[in-house]
Order: sequence, then C-alpha cells, then structure tokens
Amino acid sequence: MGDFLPRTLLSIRDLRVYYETIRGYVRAVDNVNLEIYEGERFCLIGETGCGKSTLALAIPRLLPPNARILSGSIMFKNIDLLKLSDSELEEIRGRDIAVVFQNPMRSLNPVLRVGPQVAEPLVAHFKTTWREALVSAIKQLSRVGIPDPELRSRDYPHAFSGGMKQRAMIAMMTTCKPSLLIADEPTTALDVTIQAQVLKLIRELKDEYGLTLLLITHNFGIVAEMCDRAGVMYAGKLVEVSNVVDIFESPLHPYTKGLIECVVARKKSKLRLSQIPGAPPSLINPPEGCRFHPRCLYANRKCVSEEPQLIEVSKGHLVACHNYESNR
Amino acid sequence: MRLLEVRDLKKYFEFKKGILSKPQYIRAVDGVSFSVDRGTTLGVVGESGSGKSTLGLTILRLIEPTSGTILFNGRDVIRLSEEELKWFRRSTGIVFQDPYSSLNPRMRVKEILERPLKIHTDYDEKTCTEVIVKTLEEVGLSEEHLMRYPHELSGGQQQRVAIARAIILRPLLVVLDEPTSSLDVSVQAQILNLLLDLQSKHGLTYIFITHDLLTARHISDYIMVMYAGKVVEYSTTREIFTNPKHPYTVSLLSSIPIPDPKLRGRKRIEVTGEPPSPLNPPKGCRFHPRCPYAIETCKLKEPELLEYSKEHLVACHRASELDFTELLTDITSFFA
Repeated sequence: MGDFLPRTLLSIRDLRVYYETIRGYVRAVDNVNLEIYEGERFCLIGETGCGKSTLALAIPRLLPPNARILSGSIMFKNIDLLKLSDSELEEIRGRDIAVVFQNPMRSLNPVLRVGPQVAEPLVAHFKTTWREALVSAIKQLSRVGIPDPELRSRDYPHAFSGGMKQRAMIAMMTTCKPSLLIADEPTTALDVTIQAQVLKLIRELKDEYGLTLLLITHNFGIVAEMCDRAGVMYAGKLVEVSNVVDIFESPLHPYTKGLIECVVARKKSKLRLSQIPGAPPSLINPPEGCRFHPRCLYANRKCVSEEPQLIEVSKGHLVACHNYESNR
Repeated sequence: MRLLEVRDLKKYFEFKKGILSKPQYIRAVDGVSFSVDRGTTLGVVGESGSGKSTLGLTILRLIEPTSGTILFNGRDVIRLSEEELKWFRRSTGIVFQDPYSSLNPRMRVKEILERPLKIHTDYDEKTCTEVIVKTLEEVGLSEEHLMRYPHELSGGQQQRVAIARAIILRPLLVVLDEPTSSLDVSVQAQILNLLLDLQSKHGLTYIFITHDLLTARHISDYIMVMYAGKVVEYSTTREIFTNPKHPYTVSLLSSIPIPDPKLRGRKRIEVTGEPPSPLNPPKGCRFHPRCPYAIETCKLKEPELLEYSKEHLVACHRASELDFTELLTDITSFFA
C-alpha cells in the first residue's frame, strides 16, 4: 500500500449477527469492527464455525433466513448497507459488491445455460440488451480461461468441470467490474493444480479491474500467497488484524501463534507438531471473558472474567489479548 | 522387512452409458507396482480421480482387483482361503476421510469398538471393555466417551474413534484415506501427532492417502505420486521434495500455496488444463497434454516407471535430461 493514506472502502462497526436456533442464539459474529481499504487484498482466516463466512456474507446481506443482524453498521462508500431497502441493495449486489462462493455447482443455476447466466448481471444492472450482454459474457468467459467460450456458453453448468464452473462463476461476478469482490473459500473444492490456476486468475483480475478483494479461507498457504492484510477470527470475534508478514512472523495472539505453528509445512517431517489443545467452543454458550481462554496456555484470572478488546498495539497491528506484551 | 508388495495392480470399473451400449472401462488403477516395508509410511499423493482411494480399497480387498498380485506378509491376498481372509482382515485396518459417515450413527462408541473384538477374538465381556477403554485412552479419549453416540462427539473425536477401531486388533497395516482432510487445522495437527505416536508405539505400517503434499511430507517416509491411475514418481520424502524428476510432481510442488509470504513471487511451472477423463485417458504419457516439457515421444509412447537412482523411480521419457533444480530453489530451501 506504500506511504499514501489508504482510503477506507468498507467499514464494519459493532456488528452482531446471531442465528436463531431451537437451542438458542448462535453468536456467530459478536461485536466485530473492521476496516477494509480501497484496492487491498484482505483475508479472513479461521477454523470452521468461527463466523468468518457469516461476517463476509453480512456485507451484501446474503445470510440464511434464520440470521438476525442485531446491531452495527456496514458503511460501504459512505452508505450504510444495513439501512438499505432490499431493492436498493439489489442494485449494489452484483454491480458494486460481488460474491464467489465455495461450491460453484450450488451457485450456478443448473437449468440455465452458462452464457445467459454470466450475461444476466449486465442486463440487470446496466439495461444492456441480451444480445450485447451475451457478447460481453463470451468475452468474459474467454478472459477467465474457458476454452471455446462461444461454444461452451451454450452448455449447462453440469457439463463444466469443478474448476471451469468456478471460472464461470468468477466471470459472472466480475462482468460488472465491481469494486469489492468477496470470495468465500473459492478454491476449497478444487484440486491443487486447479486451485493454483484459479488463485492466479483472481490475482490477475484484481489488478486488471482494480478490485478490492475480501478472501475467506482456512488455508494459511493461501493467505500468504494472496493477501496484503489478514484478520484472524475465533469463536465469533476478530482476535488479530495485521499485515500478512507480521501475521506469519510476529503474531501476537496465542491463537494465531498456535495456528501458525500447527501449519504442517513449518516442521521437519516426522516430528510432532505443536498443537492447540481442545476444540473451538459452542457459540450458543461461548466462554466468559476471552473466548480462547479455555484453550490458551497463557490464560490468567483476568482472561477468565474480562473480555479483551481489539486494540492497536503498533501501527496497523491490532490484537485482542490481555497478555500480548508477553507474547512478543 | 517387506510387509506389502503390489505388482501390476489393475482395477477397471465397467461403465455403460445405456443398457444397449457397449461397456466402457474406467481405468481407476492401471498397472501399479510398489512395496512397503514394515514400520514405514508410504504417502500416496494425487488429485481427485488419480486412483489413490481405489488403490487403498483394492489393497485391502475391500473391492476386488481386476488383475495383479498383492503379497501381504508373503501371502497372496487375492487367493486367500476364508480362514486366511479372516486373518488378513484382522491384520489390516482402514480409516476414512469423513469420520461421521464411517461410524454407525445408531451405535455407541462402545458397540462400535466391540464389533472387531467380537468377530475376531474370544474375549469375555470384561476383557472386551478393558481393551476398549485402553484403546480409547491410547487415542486420547477416555472411559466417559464409552456410552456416547457419534453425533455427540466433535469431528476430531469421531476421527479418534475411527482410528481406535482400526487399531484395536493390533493390525500390521493401516490404510489412512485422507484422515485429516475434513478436519480443522488445529485438529489436523492433533490427529497427525496421534498417528505418529501410535506408529512408534506399535510399529504400525501406514499407507497414507492424501491430496495434500504438505501433510504427506510430514507423515511419510516414502511418497508415491499418482496421476490418472498410474504411478508417475516414487521416492523418499526428502528426495521428492528436494529433487523431484517428474514434471507433474514439480507442478504439484509449484501449485501448493506455501505459508510464507516471502515466497509469493517464486518461480513455478504452471500447468494448464485439467486431469484427463479416466474413461479415455490420453495416449502415450497421460500427462503429456498438460506438460510444458512434452515432446513427440511423449504423445506416442507410454513411459515406464524406471529407476532413476537408488530408491527413486520416475515414469518420464525426459527424466534424465530435465533439471528443475534452479526452478525449485525457493521451495527446496523452504523445505530443507
């Protein structure tokens, strides 16, 4: 990002998103604050059920019906997305904010041909004629690396392989040149060589269109390869935010540290890995105080009773831990 | 000492498009040979559709091979008598990727672990429970989990139960089919540690099937890379990571996202396209349509798996002339 002052594209304040279930409220996102700057590549990392997808999908309000946004604001280009009506939001979705999901089969319509699906955002947002939109769609399909795009645009999604479906999905989501692209585990369902191809495509499109990228992943390798800054989530909370080099080289939160040490690649083979004991807590009844304290080796009395706030401890490095000083 | 020897193993699945059409064959495993020594771990690495899971199931005779030989402790697994097959079942175990779907949801942990004991031993009720509790403790669970149902356990605990079931009869060989892929990073580390502990304690032999090279590297002594039903490279883990010879292995190494932001701009070979359909694999070398180093010979002649150096086998026509050392400097120094 250099020395110039980065401009904020998205600002999330005190966001709480709970899911209503028969066993009680699942506190998936609990008072999260986050800034995302224009043109950056930001990564949300965390384990299953930590709330990373809920946080990301709350931005375009694409949450399941039992989700309740209880408080907070999401400012996108000075508009509070949470205050918009559904029809106002529809104008932004797909045009300014686009989402690529993990499972492309579930996000493409199986009974429509691929071409028209990729063309649809143009027709919906820019009142382009279908004929023109289809021409652009074919161009976009070729841009994302679909061979014979003219021919393949007449196929149904089932005729596409997993990697091609994800490419088609990316074509659809970038055809309006959005300013924010949210990619929720876009390569988790793909093979390694295909994953590398798709990640490269996302990087290229980001540069070409000047997108801001919000990537959600549980893979630290992808974080290292794709992002400028990263935020680590644990049990509905953001516990650390920093530039990507510091996340790997000088993490401050014990959870981030533990995860980095778990990453297999760092150890010589056949040695025991360091491990975080236990498993993530239930979000219906999360632990009091710091939510990580039952698994934390450094927890003391304060951690059990008082919840740590996410504070900036050095330039651009935020952490929510009472004992971060001793973790340096 | 050699525990398992597999020679020219083939497994073809018949596939018919319609009732009247001529059957086609999916060549899932197509002429695979390798051996595993007692107490070591062989990592089998490949992308989806490479035949690695079919290989695991065929070795244990959970599906019947189309042809080939499997020697386990010197005995031909395919020609075992009923009595001997029972011995073979007792001496082998398997752990699958998804622990929840591999545990019967209607059985308690105790009943799940009792089954192998009831079938293969004549222990009385009391001894059974003792053995079960002892095995549970070995895998990091305890007596309190005895009466639980699988859905009451976390993913990591379920996988521990599945591992307990696989080792309760003290088998010689355990096939681990992506045992950590469905688990979170922190839980993955716990399970890998457990597997290493059990191996050193009981001298177990593992065949570890995975699509994740980094996990394979961590747990394996030897790595076998598969592509479209064939073995393309086999060597020690160290050699595979520092001196790979097959372009496919090199492209896999280039493709893994490495958890170090400084290696972002590293040199890589990028393969285009996708793995071939197993119904109709390419002629010649099966990797040639995606290989940046392919020459005319590769399109015509199928390369054999040949010894490149001691304990290093490669199936590539150009193995002796291609040199990836410079290309891989960044990665090899990371793994050194």
